[in-house]
Amino acid sequence: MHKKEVYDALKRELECLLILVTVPLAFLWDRLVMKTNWEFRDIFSAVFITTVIIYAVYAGAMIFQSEKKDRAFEYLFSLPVSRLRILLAKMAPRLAILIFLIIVLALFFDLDIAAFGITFLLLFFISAFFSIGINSIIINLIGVIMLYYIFHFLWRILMNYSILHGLESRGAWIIPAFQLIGAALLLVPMGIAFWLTFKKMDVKPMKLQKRTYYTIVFPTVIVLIIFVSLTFKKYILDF
Amino acid sequence: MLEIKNLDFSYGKTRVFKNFNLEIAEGQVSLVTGINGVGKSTLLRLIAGVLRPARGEIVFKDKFGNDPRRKIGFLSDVLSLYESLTVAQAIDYHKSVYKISSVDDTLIKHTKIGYAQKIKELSTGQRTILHLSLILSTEPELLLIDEIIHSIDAYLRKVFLEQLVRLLTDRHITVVMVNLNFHDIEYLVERVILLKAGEIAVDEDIEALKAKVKKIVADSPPEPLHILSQIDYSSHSEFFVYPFDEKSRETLEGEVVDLNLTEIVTAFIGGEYA
Repeated sequence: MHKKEVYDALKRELECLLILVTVPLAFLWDRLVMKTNWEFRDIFSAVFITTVIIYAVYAGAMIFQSEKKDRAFEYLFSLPVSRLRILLAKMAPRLAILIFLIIVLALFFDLDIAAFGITFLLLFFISAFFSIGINSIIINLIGVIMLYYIFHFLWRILMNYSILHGLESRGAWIIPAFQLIGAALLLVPMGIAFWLTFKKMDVKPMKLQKRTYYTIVFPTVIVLIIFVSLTFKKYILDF
Repeated sequence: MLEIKNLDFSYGKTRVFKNFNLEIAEGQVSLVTGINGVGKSTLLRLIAGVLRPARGEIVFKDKFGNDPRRKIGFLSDVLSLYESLTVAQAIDYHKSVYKISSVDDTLIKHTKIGYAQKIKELSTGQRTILHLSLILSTEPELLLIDEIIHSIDAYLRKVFLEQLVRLLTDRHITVVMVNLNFHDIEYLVERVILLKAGEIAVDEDIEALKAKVKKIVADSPPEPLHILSQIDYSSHSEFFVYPFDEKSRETLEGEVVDLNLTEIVTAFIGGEYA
């Protein structure tokens, strides 16, 4: 089981890394057409960051792809394996690869590992948690972008609110700390919805099994959208 | 071996079972039958653990351990496997999950399956044999077979049934199978369970059932016997009756004919469509 999941995760990563072949083309395009004279290293790092973002979303969205494509849920669920073990077997190699890519980014491209790391992990988890409720990769992607923007404003609103109300520390920890809080506000309810659905999931048509998922995810997203909308002007625009 | 207690199950608003109860004895070969959509495959999937009941429980004997699926072999009608894997990878996967060192490939060798072939490239018969080999390598106590025997060719069917007979003789495993066509499995079946509207309409030992279901060829209905279904011809009619009472044989007008399992089930099912 683990071998298959590692193989699947590596396959997804290699598919994403194929995007890197566009780097020389982008370099030539810049030199011949755009003439902005970007360094090769800068173009490479921009494309590599994009690749990691795509991998994070893609790996999450495709977490049950082999079961869906191969119609293998019945086989998987007939095996004497707990749902927790299935989930760990699926998540672990994908997360390991993502963390490896984040470390590569931090080491070779001098990026803020905390800020980028939290964002990439958030994208992965949102996408994975969406994958059980949403079949279409496109809709999953739209959902991920929407939730990313909610997160993007949410942690800033919370941070600015705290600063306005007396939070004095302006240390390096403050951004990642509020990013973590923002990510938790999104991921905890989504993760609960995902787990409750997956734990009870069987081979009935999926549309009959999503009630719990939507009952938790929809209100959470709506509440967060309303919260961000109501506080956006005061804590983002006017801050 | 297993007991199903007060089980409810629905697909959305379509109720399949309500307060369903059934007991399967150890070492018994049971045949579950009934019209299409009555819940035969659903029943097997519930026992296999790939569907979850809304209410009620399925209780297995102690030897099934904490996770009964370890001792259940489920050969489903959709032959679900990871289709993008090769045969060798699928065998490896199964071995790693069950922590077994090898899979007996005697059956696989009967077919022309190549280990480098992808599962999706295999015929239904080859997939059935591969699936059966995987299942048997885990030495199940309970084998669930869903309507697959007749979708494979005559040779592979013979291979499959020989293996099944060997298992029944050597290991006395329990078998629950779903089928609508019985001519080459009739000799294996000990018990017949006929489902109707999510309930058990008939649950009989096969010999008792054969004694109770008869065809009566006559001009008029064989009163007071209960008629399951009838076929009318220009010169006479055939009445399928259940339960047949031996005492009534002497007073009946017409010929009483014994039936095989296929004819018996057809009579019951014909009655439902009448």
